[in-house]
Amino acid sequence: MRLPRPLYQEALADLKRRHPFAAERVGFLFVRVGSTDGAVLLLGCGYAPVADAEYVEDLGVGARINSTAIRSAMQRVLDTRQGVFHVHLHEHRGAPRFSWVDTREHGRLVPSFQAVGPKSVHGALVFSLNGAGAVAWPADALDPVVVDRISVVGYPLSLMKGTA
Amino acid sequence: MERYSRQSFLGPDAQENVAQCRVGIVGLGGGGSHIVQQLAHLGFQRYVLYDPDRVEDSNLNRMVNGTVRDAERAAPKISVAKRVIKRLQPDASIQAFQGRWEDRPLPLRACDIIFGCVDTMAGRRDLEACARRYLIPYVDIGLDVHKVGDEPPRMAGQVVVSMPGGPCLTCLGFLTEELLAKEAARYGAAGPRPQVVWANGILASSAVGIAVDLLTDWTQALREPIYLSYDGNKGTLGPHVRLRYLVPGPCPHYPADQVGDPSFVALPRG
Repeated sequence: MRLPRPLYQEALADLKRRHPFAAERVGFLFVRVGSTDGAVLLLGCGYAPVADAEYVEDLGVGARINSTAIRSAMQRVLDTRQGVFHVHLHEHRGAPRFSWVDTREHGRLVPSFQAVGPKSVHGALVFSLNGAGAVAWPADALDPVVVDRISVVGYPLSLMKGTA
Repeated sequence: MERYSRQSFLGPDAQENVAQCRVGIVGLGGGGSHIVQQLAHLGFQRYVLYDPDRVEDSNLNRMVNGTVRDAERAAPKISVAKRVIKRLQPDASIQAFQGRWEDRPLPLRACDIIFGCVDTMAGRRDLEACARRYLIPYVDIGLDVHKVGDEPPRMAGQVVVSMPGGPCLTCLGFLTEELLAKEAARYGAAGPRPQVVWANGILASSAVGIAVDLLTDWTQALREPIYLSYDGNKGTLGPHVRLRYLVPGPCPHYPADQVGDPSFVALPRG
Protein backbone atom coordinates (compact mmCIF):
# COMPACT_ATOMS: atom_id res chain seq x y z
CA MET A 1 0.00 0.00 0.00
CA ARG A 2 1.26 3.45 -0.89
CA LEU A 3 -0.09 6.63 0.60
CA PRO A 4 0.94 10.12 -0.50
CA ARG A 5 2.22 11.94 2.57
CA PRO A 6 -0.40 14.72 2.38
CA LEU A 7 -3.13 12.08 2.45
CA TYR A 8 -1.46 10.25 5.36
CA GLN A 9 -1.14 13.49 7.29
CA GLU A 10 -4.75 14.39 6.58
CA ALA A 11 -5.93 11.04 7.93
CA LEU A 12 -3.67 11.14 10.98
CA ALA A 13 -4.67 14.70 11.85
CA ASP A 14 -8.34 13.75 11.72
CA LEU A 15 -7.93 10.56 13.73
CA LYS A 16 -6.02 12.35 16.49
CA ARG A 17 -8.91 14.75 17.19
CA ARG A 18 -10.89 14.04 20.36
CA HIS A 19 -14.52 13.08 19.93
CA PRO A 20 -17.12 14.33 22.41
CA PHE A 21 -17.86 10.79 23.63
CA ALA A 22 -16.18 8.14 21.47
CA ALA A 23 -12.83 6.87 22.73
CA GLU A 24 -11.29 7.02 19.27
CA ARG A 25 -12.10 8.19 15.77
CA VAL A 26 -12.44 6.23 12.58
CA GLY A 27 -12.31 7.26 8.94
CA PHE A 28 -12.39 5.82 5.44
CA LEU A 29 -9.38 5.73 3.18
CA PHE A 30 -10.00 5.15 -0.50
CA VAL A 31 -7.65 3.27 -2.80
CA ARG A 32 -7.20 2.31 -6.40
CA VAL A 33 -5.40 -0.80 -7.53
CA GLY A 34 -2.17 -0.89 -9.49
CA SER A 35 -0.78 -4.02 -11.05
CA THR A 36 2.90 -4.92 -10.96
CA ASP A 37 4.87 -8.08 -11.59
CA GLY A 38 3.60 -10.40 -8.93
CA ALA A 39 2.08 -7.98 -6.44
CA VAL A 40 -0.95 -5.75 -6.23
CA LEU A 41 -0.44 -2.13 -5.26
CA LEU A 42 -3.06 -0.34 -3.21
CA LEU A 43 -2.72 3.34 -3.97
CA GLY A 44 -4.31 5.83 -1.61
CA CYS A 45 -6.41 8.43 -3.40
CA GLY A 46 -8.71 10.00 -0.81
CA TYR A 47 -9.79 10.17 2.80
CA ALA A 48 -13.23 10.77 4.27
CA PRO A 49 -13.60 11.59 7.96
CA VAL A 50 -16.66 10.50 9.88
CA ALA A 51 -18.72 13.43 11.20
CA ASP A 52 -19.15 13.76 14.96
CA ALA A 53 -22.89 13.19 14.65
CA GLU A 54 -22.37 9.86 12.90
CA TYR A 55 -20.85 8.19 15.98
CA VAL A 56 -23.04 6.05 18.19
CA GLU A 57 -22.51 5.72 21.95
CA ASP A 58 -21.29 2.22 22.73
CA LEU A 59 -19.10 1.55 25.73
CA GLY A 60 -18.18 -1.88 24.38
CA VAL A 61 -15.95 -0.53 21.60
CA GLY A 62 -13.60 2.39 21.01
CA ALA A 63 -15.84 3.85 18.35
CA ARG A 64 -19.07 2.82 16.67
CA ILE A 65 -20.44 4.67 13.67
CA ASN A 66 -23.95 4.70 12.26
CA SER A 67 -25.31 3.51 8.96
CA THR A 68 -25.18 6.98 7.41
CA ALA A 69 -21.38 7.02 7.64
CA ILE A 70 -21.14 3.53 6.18
CA ARG A 71 -23.64 4.29 3.39
CA SER A 72 -21.62 7.37 2.47
CA ALA A 73 -18.48 5.28 2.03
CA MET A 74 -20.43 2.65 0.09
CA GLN A 75 -21.80 5.34 -2.24
CA ARG A 76 -18.28 6.52 -3.08
CA VAL A 77 -17.24 2.94 -3.82
CA LEU A 78 -20.26 2.56 -6.10
CA ASP A 79 -19.65 5.87 -7.89
CA THR A 80 -15.89 5.63 -8.34
CA ARG A 81 -15.09 1.91 -8.21
CA GLN A 82 -12.46 2.75 -5.62
CA GLY A 83 -11.72 0.37 -2.78
CA VAL A 84 -12.23 1.52 0.79
CA PHE A 85 -10.35 0.84 4.01
CA HIS A 86 -11.77 1.39 7.45
CA VAL A 87 -9.04 3.23 9.33
CA HIS A 88 -8.32 4.11 12.94
CA LEU A 89 -5.37 5.05 15.13
CA HIS A 90 -3.70 3.40 18.08
CA GLU A 91 -1.92 6.24 19.84
CA HIS A 92 1.38 4.57 20.64
CA ARG A 93 4.70 4.09 18.89
CA GLY A 94 5.72 0.79 17.31
CA ALA A 95 3.86 -1.77 15.27
CA PRO A 96 0.08 -1.50 15.73
CA ARG A 97 -2.14 -4.58 15.78
CA PHE A 98 -5.85 -5.05 15.28
CA SER A 99 -7.74 -6.06 18.39
CA TRP A 100 -10.12 -9.02 18.28
CA VAL A 101 -12.99 -6.52 18.32
CA ASP A 102 -11.47 -4.78 15.28
CA THR A 103 -11.19 -8.11 13.47
CA ARG A 104 -14.78 -9.04 14.30
CA GLU A 105 -16.12 -5.70 13.10
CA HIS A 106 -14.09 -5.72 9.88
CA GLY A 107 -15.60 -9.08 9.05
CA ARG A 108 -19.04 -7.50 9.31
CA LEU A 109 -18.22 -4.29 7.49
CA VAL A 110 -16.26 -5.43 4.45
CA PRO A 111 -19.07 -7.51 2.86
CA SER A 112 -21.09 -4.29 2.56
CA PHE A 113 -18.30 -2.73 0.56
CA GLN A 114 -17.86 -5.86 -1.53
CA ALA A 115 -21.56 -5.72 -2.35
CA VAL A 116 -21.21 -2.34 -4.04
CA GLY A 117 -17.64 -2.75 -5.28
CA PRO A 118 -17.08 -6.43 -6.02
CA LYS A 119 -14.11 -5.77 -8.29
CA SER A 120 -12.34 -3.47 -5.84
CA VAL A 121 -10.03 -4.27 -2.94
CA HIS A 122 -11.38 -3.31 0.50
CA GLY A 123 -10.03 -3.73 3.99
CA ALA A 124 -8.93 -2.20 7.24
CA LEU A 125 -5.98 -0.10 8.21
CA VAL A 126 -4.63 0.82 11.63
CA PHE A 127 -2.02 3.46 12.25
CA SER A 128 0.23 3.90 15.24
CA LEU A 129 2.17 7.11 15.68
CA ASN A 130 5.01 5.73 13.55
CA GLY A 131 3.74 2.49 12.07
CA ALA A 132 0.83 0.92 10.26
CA GLY A 133 -0.87 -2.39 9.66
CA ALA A 134 -3.54 -3.44 7.21
CA VAL A 135 -5.55 -6.35 5.98
CA ALA A 136 -7.16 -6.45 2.55
CA TRP A 137 -9.90 -8.48 0.96
CA PRO A 138 -8.99 -8.98 -2.72
CA ALA A 139 -11.92 -8.82 -5.15
CA ASP A 140 -14.55 -11.41 -4.24
CA ALA A 141 -12.36 -12.93 -1.50
CA LEU A 142 -13.92 -14.29 1.66
CA ASP A 143 -10.77 -14.06 3.74
CA PRO A 144 -8.34 -11.19 4.12
CA VAL A 145 -4.63 -11.09 3.42
CA VAL A 146 -2.07 -9.09 5.38
CA VAL A 147 -0.71 -6.08 3.50
CA ASP A 148 3.03 -6.69 3.67
CA ARG A 149 4.25 -3.13 3.34
CA ILE A 150 2.80 0.33 3.78
CA SER A 151 4.76 3.22 2.27
CA VAL A 152 4.18 6.85 2.98
CA VAL A 153 5.39 8.62 -0.14
CA GLY A 154 6.77 12.10 0.35
CA TYR A 155 9.45 13.94 2.27
CA PRO A 156 10.61 11.66 3.89
CA LEU A 157 9.78 8.36 2.22
CA SER A 158 8.71 5.85 4.89
CA LEU A 159 8.74 2.15 4.07
CA MET A 160 6.82 0.49 6.91
CA LYS A 161 6.54 -3.25 7.30
CA GLY A 162 2.85 -4.04 7.53
CA THR A 163 1.46 -5.74 10.63
CA ALA A 164 -2.01 -7.02 11.38
CA MET B 1 27.81 -4.29 9.92
CA GLU B 2 31.41 -3.11 9.71
CA ARG B 3 31.08 -2.57 6.00
CA TYR B 4 28.67 0.31 6.50
CA SER B 5 30.11 1.74 9.72
CA ARG B 6 31.28 4.91 7.95
CA GLN B 7 27.68 5.70 6.98
CA SER B 8 26.10 4.78 10.30
CA PHE B 9 25.36 8.47 10.90
CA LEU B 10 22.45 7.97 8.49
CA GLY B 11 20.48 6.45 11.37
CA PRO B 12 19.85 3.13 13.09
CA ASP B 13 17.29 1.98 10.50
CA ALA B 14 19.04 3.48 7.52
CA GLN B 15 20.78 0.37 6.24
CA GLU B 16 17.60 -1.69 6.52
CA ASN B 17 15.64 0.98 4.64
CA VAL B 18 18.29 1.10 1.95
CA ALA B 19 18.30 -2.67 1.62
CA GLN B 20 14.50 -2.86 1.40
CA CYS B 21 14.14 -0.10 -1.14
CA ARG B 22 13.53 -1.22 -4.69
CA VAL B 23 15.13 1.24 -7.09
CA GLY B 24 14.35 1.67 -10.76
CA ILE B 25 16.98 3.17 -13.04
CA VAL B 26 15.99 4.06 -16.56
CA GLY B 27 19.01 4.82 -18.71
CA LEU B 28 22.41 3.38 -17.82
CA GLY B 29 24.72 5.62 -19.78
CA GLY B 30 26.49 8.73 -18.54
CA GLY B 31 24.24 9.45 -15.55
CA GLY B 32 22.74 6.04 -14.82
CA SER B 33 26.12 4.28 -14.67
CA HIS B 34 27.19 6.59 -11.84
CA ILE B 35 23.91 6.07 -10.02
CA VAL B 36 24.06 2.27 -10.20
CA GLN B 37 27.61 2.24 -8.89
CA GLN B 38 26.84 4.52 -5.95
CA LEU B 39 23.66 2.66 -4.99
CA ALA B 40 25.59 -0.61 -4.94
CA HIS B 41 28.28 0.91 -2.72
CA LEU B 42 25.60 2.23 -0.36
CA GLY B 43 24.04 -1.19 0.10
CA PHE B 44 20.94 -1.14 -2.12
CA GLN B 45 19.85 -4.69 -2.82
CA ARG B 46 16.88 -4.48 -5.17
CA TYR B 47 17.23 -3.12 -8.68
CA VAL B 48 15.10 -2.75 -11.78
CA LEU B 49 17.21 -1.62 -14.74
CA TYR B 50 16.28 -0.54 -18.26
CA ASP B 51 18.41 0.42 -21.22
CA PRO B 52 18.01 -0.73 -24.82
CA ASP B 53 21.52 0.24 -25.88
CA ARG B 54 24.87 -1.47 -26.15
CA VAL B 55 28.22 0.03 -25.19
CA GLU B 56 29.93 1.92 -28.00
CA ASP B 57 33.30 3.58 -28.21
CA SER B 58 31.64 6.99 -27.97
CA ASN B 59 30.18 6.06 -24.53
CA LEU B 60 33.55 5.50 -22.91
CA ASN B 61 34.23 9.17 -22.22
CA ARG B 62 31.55 9.17 -19.53
CA MET B 63 30.04 5.76 -18.83
CA VAL B 64 31.73 4.68 -15.62
CA ASN B 65 32.75 1.00 -15.53
CA GLY B 66 32.30 0.71 -19.26
CA THR B 67 35.51 -0.67 -20.76
CA VAL B 68 37.19 -0.91 -24.14
CA ARG B 69 36.38 -4.61 -24.08
CA ASP B 70 32.68 -3.83 -23.49
CA ALA B 71 32.70 -1.52 -26.50
CA GLU B 72 34.53 -4.05 -28.66
CA ARG B 73 32.01 -6.75 -27.97
CA ALA B 74 29.08 -4.30 -27.94
CA ALA B 75 28.00 -5.41 -24.48
CA PRO B 76 24.50 -4.38 -23.44
CA LYS B 77 24.65 -1.50 -20.96
CA ILE B 78 22.49 -3.51 -18.58
CA SER B 79 25.23 -6.16 -18.48
CA VAL B 80 27.78 -3.60 -17.36
CA ALA B 81 25.41 -2.34 -14.66
CA LYS B 82 24.68 -5.89 -13.46
CA ARG B 83 28.39 -6.62 -13.31
CA VAL B 84 29.02 -3.57 -11.14
CA ILE B 85 26.18 -4.42 -8.77
CA LYS B 86 27.08 -8.08 -8.45
CA ARG B 87 30.72 -7.31 -7.65
CA LEU B 88 29.62 -5.11 -4.77
CA GLN B 89 26.39 -6.83 -3.78
CA PRO B 90 26.56 -10.52 -4.77
CA ASP B 91 23.13 -11.27 -3.30
CA ALA B 92 21.32 -8.34 -4.88
CA SER B 93 18.07 -8.93 -6.72
CA ILE B 94 18.37 -7.47 -10.22
CA GLN B 95 15.73 -7.31 -12.89
CA ALA B 96 17.43 -5.96 -15.99
CA PHE B 97 15.75 -5.32 -19.31
CA GLN B 98 17.53 -4.52 -22.54
CA GLY B 99 14.72 -2.50 -23.95
CA ARG B 100 12.32 0.33 -23.31
CA TRP B 101 10.60 0.46 -19.95
CA GLU B 102 7.33 1.09 -21.77
CA ASP B 103 7.53 -2.45 -23.14
CA ARG B 104 7.95 -3.96 -19.64
CA PRO B 105 6.31 -1.47 -17.26
CA LEU B 106 5.15 -3.83 -14.49
CA PRO B 107 8.51 -4.22 -12.69
CA LEU B 108 9.02 -0.46 -12.75
CA ARG B 109 5.69 0.14 -11.00
CA ALA B 110 6.85 -1.92 -8.05
CA CYS B 111 9.84 0.37 -7.44
CA ASP B 112 10.01 2.67 -4.43
CA ILE B 113 12.13 5.28 -6.19
CA ILE B 114 12.76 5.80 -9.89
CA PHE B 115 15.85 7.51 -11.28
CA GLY B 116 15.32 8.91 -14.75
CA CYS B 117 18.48 9.31 -16.80
CA VAL B 118 16.86 9.81 -20.17
CA ASP B 119 17.79 12.14 -22.99
CA THR B 120 14.48 13.58 -24.06
CA MET B 121 11.75 15.73 -22.57
CA ALA B 122 9.11 13.38 -23.95
CA GLY B 123 10.91 10.52 -22.23
CA ARG B 124 10.82 12.42 -18.95
CA ARG B 125 7.14 13.23 -19.37
CA ASP B 126 6.23 9.58 -19.93
CA LEU B 127 8.37 8.31 -17.09
CA GLU B 128 6.99 10.89 -14.70
CA ALA B 129 3.42 10.02 -15.71
CA CYS B 130 4.07 6.38 -14.79
CA ALA B 131 5.72 7.34 -11.51
CA ARG B 132 2.87 9.65 -10.51
CA ARG B 133 0.22 7.10 -11.44
CA TYR B 134 1.83 4.50 -9.16
CA LEU B 135 2.88 6.92 -6.40
CA ILE B 136 6.64 6.63 -6.87
CA PRO B 137 9.09 9.46 -6.25
CA TYR B 138 10.76 10.29 -9.56
CA VAL B 139 14.29 11.73 -9.52
CA ASP B 140 15.35 13.15 -12.85
CA ILE B 141 18.84 14.17 -13.90
CA GLY B 142 19.97 15.73 -17.13
CA LEU B 143 22.81 17.68 -18.67
CA ASP B 144 23.14 19.74 -21.81
CA VAL B 145 25.72 21.95 -23.44
CA HIS B 146 24.65 24.89 -25.58
CA LYS B 147 26.69 26.99 -27.91
CA VAL B 148 25.42 30.44 -28.79
CA GLY B 149 27.38 32.66 -31.14
CA ASP B 150 31.01 33.26 -30.22
CA GLU B 151 30.44 32.76 -26.49
CA PRO B 152 32.08 29.79 -24.74
CA PRO B 153 29.82 26.72 -24.54
CA ARG B 154 27.34 26.84 -21.64
CA MET B 155 26.98 23.63 -19.66
CA ALA B 156 23.80 23.33 -17.61
CA GLY B 157 21.91 20.55 -15.93
CA GLN B 158 19.34 19.71 -13.33
CA VAL B 159 18.33 17.37 -10.57
CA VAL B 160 14.60 17.56 -10.07
CA VAL B 161 12.19 15.47 -8.02
CA SER B 162 8.58 14.84 -8.92
CA MET B 163 7.02 13.75 -5.65
CA PRO B 164 3.47 12.33 -5.63
CA GLY B 165 1.29 14.71 -3.67
CA GLY B 166 3.60 17.61 -4.55
CA PRO B 167 4.42 19.69 -7.61
CA CYS B 168 5.24 17.83 -10.81
CA LEU B 169 7.85 18.66 -13.45
CA THR B 170 5.31 20.88 -15.20
CA CYS B 171 4.37 22.71 -11.99
CA LEU B 172 8.08 23.29 -11.41
CA GLY B 173 8.41 24.86 -14.84
CA PHE B 174 10.92 22.26 -16.01
CA LEU B 175 8.67 20.48 -18.47
CA THR B 176 6.72 22.76 -20.81
CA GLU B 177 4.53 22.29 -23.86
CA GLU B 178 6.90 24.59 -25.73
CA LEU B 179 9.92 22.42 -25.01
CA LEU B 180 8.04 19.27 -25.92
CA ALA B 181 6.86 20.84 -29.19
CA LYS B 182 10.39 22.01 -30.07
CA GLU B 183 11.75 18.58 -29.35
CA ALA B 184 9.06 16.93 -31.46
CA ALA B 185 9.82 19.31 -34.33
CA ARG B 186 13.47 18.27 -34.45
CA TYR B 187 12.71 14.60 -33.93
CA GLY B 188 15.29 12.46 -35.70
CA ALA B 189 17.76 15.30 -36.13
CA ALA B 190 19.07 15.70 -32.62
CA GLY B 191 22.62 14.61 -33.37
CA PRO B 192 25.09 13.60 -30.66
CA ARG B 193 24.33 15.21 -27.29
CA PRO B 194 27.37 16.65 -25.50
CA GLN B 195 28.05 14.84 -22.22
CA VAL B 196 31.02 14.78 -19.87
CA VAL B 197 31.84 12.45 -17.03
CA TRP B 198 32.49 15.00 -14.29
CA ALA B 199 29.21 16.84 -14.76
CA ASN B 200 27.26 13.60 -14.97
CA GLY B 201 28.99 12.54 -11.77
CA ILE B 202 27.94 15.70 -9.93
CA LEU B 203 24.31 15.35 -10.98
CA ALA B 204 24.18 11.62 -10.31
CA SER B 205 25.81 12.03 -6.90
CA SER B 206 23.30 14.69 -5.95
CA ALA B 207 20.42 12.50 -7.08
CA VAL B 208 21.71 9.60 -5.00
CA GLY B 209 22.18 11.90 -2.01
CA ILE B 210 18.58 13.04 -2.31
CA ALA B 211 17.35 9.45 -2.49
CA VAL B 212 19.32 8.47 0.62
CA ASP B 213 17.99 11.48 2.49
CA LEU B 214 14.46 10.60 1.41
CA LEU B 215 14.86 7.07 2.73
CA THR B 216 16.71 7.82 5.96
CA ASP B 217 15.68 11.41 6.74
CA TRP B 218 19.17 11.85 8.14
CA THR B 219 19.16 15.63 7.59
CA GLN B 220 15.57 16.01 8.77
CA ALA B 221 15.56 18.95 6.42
CA LEU B 222 14.20 17.57 3.17
CA ARG B 223 10.63 18.86 3.26
CA GLU B 224 10.27 21.09 0.22
CA PRO B 225 10.12 20.47 -3.53
CA ILE B 226 13.57 19.77 -5.00
CA TYR B 227 14.75 21.39 -8.20
CA LEU B 228 18.50 21.91 -8.35
CA SER B 229 20.15 23.80 -11.17
CA TYR B 230 23.70 23.00 -12.26
CA ASP B 231 25.90 25.61 -13.85
CA GLY B 232 28.78 23.69 -15.34
CA ASN B 233 30.70 26.82 -16.27
CA LYS B 234 30.75 28.08 -12.71
CA GLY B 235 30.76 24.66 -11.08
CA THR B 236 27.74 25.41 -8.90
CA LEU B 237 24.64 23.45 -7.98
CA GLY B 238 21.83 25.14 -6.10
CA PRO B 239 18.07 25.64 -5.83
CA HIS B 240 16.58 26.65 -9.16
CA VAL B 241 15.20 30.16 -9.38
CA ARG B 242 11.86 28.75 -10.57
CA LEU B 243 11.19 27.44 -7.06
CA ARG B 244 10.59 31.05 -5.98
CA TYR B 245 7.65 31.30 -8.36
CA LEU B 246 6.11 27.95 -7.56
CA VAL B 247 2.34 28.30 -7.16
CA PRO B 248 1.27 26.73 -3.85
CA GLY B 249 -1.50 24.17 -3.79
CA PRO B 250 -2.15 20.72 -5.20
CA CYS B 251 -0.72 19.71 -8.55
CA PRO B 252 -3.40 20.25 -11.23
CA HIS B 253 -1.68 17.94 -13.71
CA TYR B 254 -1.82 14.77 -11.62
CA PRO B 255 -5.01 14.86 -9.50
CA ALA B 256 -4.95 12.78 -6.33
CA ASP B 257 -7.61 10.35 -7.50
CA GLN B 258 -5.94 9.58 -10.84
CA VAL B 259 -3.73 6.78 -9.62
CA GLY B 260 -3.45 3.08 -10.35
CA ASP B 261 -4.39 1.13 -13.43
CA PRO B 262 -6.57 3.17 -15.77
CA SER B 263 -10.21 2.11 -15.73
CA PHE B 264 -13.56 3.28 -17.02
CA VAL B 265 -15.61 5.19 -14.47
CA ALA B 266 -19.18 6.38 -14.92
CA LEU B 267 -19.48 10.16 -15.18
CA PRO B 268 -21.58 11.88 -12.50
CA ARG B 269 -25.23 12.31 -13.51
CA GLY B 270 -26.74 15.64 -14.41
